Amino acid sequence: MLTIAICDDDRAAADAIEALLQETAARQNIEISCEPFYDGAALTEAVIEQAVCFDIIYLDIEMGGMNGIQTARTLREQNLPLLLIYVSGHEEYLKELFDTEPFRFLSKPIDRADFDRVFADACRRLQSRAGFFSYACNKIVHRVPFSRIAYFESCGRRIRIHTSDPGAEATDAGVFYGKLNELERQLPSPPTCRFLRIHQSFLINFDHVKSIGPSQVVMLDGTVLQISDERRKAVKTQFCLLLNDNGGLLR
Amino acid sequence: MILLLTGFFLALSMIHITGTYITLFGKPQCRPILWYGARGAYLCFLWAVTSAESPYPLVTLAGNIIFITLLYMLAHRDSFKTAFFRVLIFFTIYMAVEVAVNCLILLILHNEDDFLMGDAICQIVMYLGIQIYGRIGPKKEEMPLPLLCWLKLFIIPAVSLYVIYDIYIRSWRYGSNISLILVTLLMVLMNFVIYDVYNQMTSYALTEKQSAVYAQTIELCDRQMKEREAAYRQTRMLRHDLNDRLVAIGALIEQGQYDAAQKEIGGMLYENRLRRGEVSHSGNPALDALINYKYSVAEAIGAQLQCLVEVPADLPVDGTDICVVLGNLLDNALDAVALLPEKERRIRLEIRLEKGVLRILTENPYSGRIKNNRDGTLKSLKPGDGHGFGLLSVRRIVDKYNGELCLPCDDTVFRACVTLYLP
Repeated sequence: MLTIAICDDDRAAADAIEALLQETAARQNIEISCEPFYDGAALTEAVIEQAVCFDIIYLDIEMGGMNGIQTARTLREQNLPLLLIYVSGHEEYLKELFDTEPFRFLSKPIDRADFDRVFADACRRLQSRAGFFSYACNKIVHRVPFSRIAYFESCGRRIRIHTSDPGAEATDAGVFYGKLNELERQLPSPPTCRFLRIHQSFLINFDHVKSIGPSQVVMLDGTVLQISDERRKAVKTQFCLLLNDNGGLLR
Repeated sequence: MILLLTGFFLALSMIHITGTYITLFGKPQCRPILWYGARGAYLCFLWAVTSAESPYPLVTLAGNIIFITLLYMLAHRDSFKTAFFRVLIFFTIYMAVEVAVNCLILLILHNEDDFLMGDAICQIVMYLGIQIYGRIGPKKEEMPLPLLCWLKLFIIPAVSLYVIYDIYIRSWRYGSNISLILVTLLMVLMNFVIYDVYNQMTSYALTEKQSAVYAQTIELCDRQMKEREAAYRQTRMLRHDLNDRLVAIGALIEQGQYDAAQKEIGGMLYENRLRRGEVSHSGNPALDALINYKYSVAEAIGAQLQCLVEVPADLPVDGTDICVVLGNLLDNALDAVALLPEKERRIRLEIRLEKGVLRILTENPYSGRIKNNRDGTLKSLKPGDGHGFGLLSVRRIVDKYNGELCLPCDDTVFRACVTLYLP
């Protein structure tokens, strides 16, 4: 079941997207629940105050009040790995849009084929995030969805899980005994699971990366992690291949 | 016994000398175990021939040359031509020095049996020579010369070898004299000069190749500029056209013909979408112009070019650079699909700014086989000269942006993925 938000100050446009979604989802046999919002403030409130977890958000860029970019920024501050799809009548994209990690762009009036393709891409990406990581800590088995894990850090003989949940860092529940090398081997390989070993002590979730440079990675929550010298070349290659494995090829 | 031992030491020092010579051109790139294993095998060979006092010096020499050429190729992955030439020059000079030294010994001491001293002195001289040459700085980058040119240069060390061998036989038969020594030393000089000429020519060939890459870049930019001009003219025409049509719609509304007006607007939106669905409209002039131009080229050969361009208008990448990368990748794809039946001529292009990295992906089906060069790069499939620079230029730009070029191809689909790290 996918939870989808549509945010557009033009009710007709929002309804049109919802209708398209229902139709596409029914055809692709995917269960969805749509919730329309007619301004950015209402959407951010739902996400922040009511902690509604959306998988996909269709966001109009030009809106009265809080516009699309401001809304997206506020949402991104929550470090949620949700997929953001911008819908816009504009033909050109502003530089600021790209700082909010958009998944895709759709132009108005919406082309049916484009819409279906983007939705299918999004579903494929979300599928790759499914699954849980289990570990034992103090004899209790914990289960964390892969999508919530930002990165693994090894500290001596133990591994700490850094997640996107605020406040989780302080507790000891995210620490377990193990070796990063073994963990790296055990994780499913891409595209099912998109983890990248950038350092002797860091194994990062690609979906939680905000930006990447030749020597360091900035995570969604702002943490800067170094790429070790000897792994730089390999990380670059892996990264190149990872970036390019989303989306079906030559359909 | 003593002969066996001294033979071993001489062989050992020979290994050291050849090893030093080979590493002058860069660190060995093979696994250390292979490198030392091959040198061990060479040691055994040397020891065997020196101990056995091989009755055929030419066979020994040939064995040496083959061994060291293989060792060189193992260490450097250079072309055979370069490896063989460098090794041949080395042994020509080595042999000339050896003959000169032996002639000198023969002249001064009149001792015909003592080869050991001659060998030892010769090895010291060669070792010093290599050390000095290493300081002067040998050319590390290599670029294989065309075969004919290589053969012409090759004649000189080959003839020298024969002359030196002849001198060696003469000195053996008729005794040594100063002029023979002088001739061999001149041979050393001549070969050294030829070696330098060879290096100059390879670096010239490299420059030539690089300038071919640049020439191609310039051509691409030129074409792209013309295309941009055309695009500008087209935009002006469209704007003019738009004005006319808006006036017409205004008139329709004024007359109360709302249905007709709506139909006209619907038609305009439809046309706009068609234009948008097919070609690039990122707002980045260089990118758009190039893609739109390539789109028309693809259309002309009946190929379908699917574009997905999601980049900001003010992309912090030099327009020229992006055109070189994109132009080359698309040219390759177009060339490849042109060989396929018309139904299968599809190219997919994706350009996206993601996580602060610009990535470009092209995909196309292809027929035939992809060949690899020795250094792991792809060999051009196109016939004739002037090809094979495409991916080279792409790589140059990729290196400039600290990026990466991957070619994860399978049997039917060719893929090129480029990532550029933006400043």
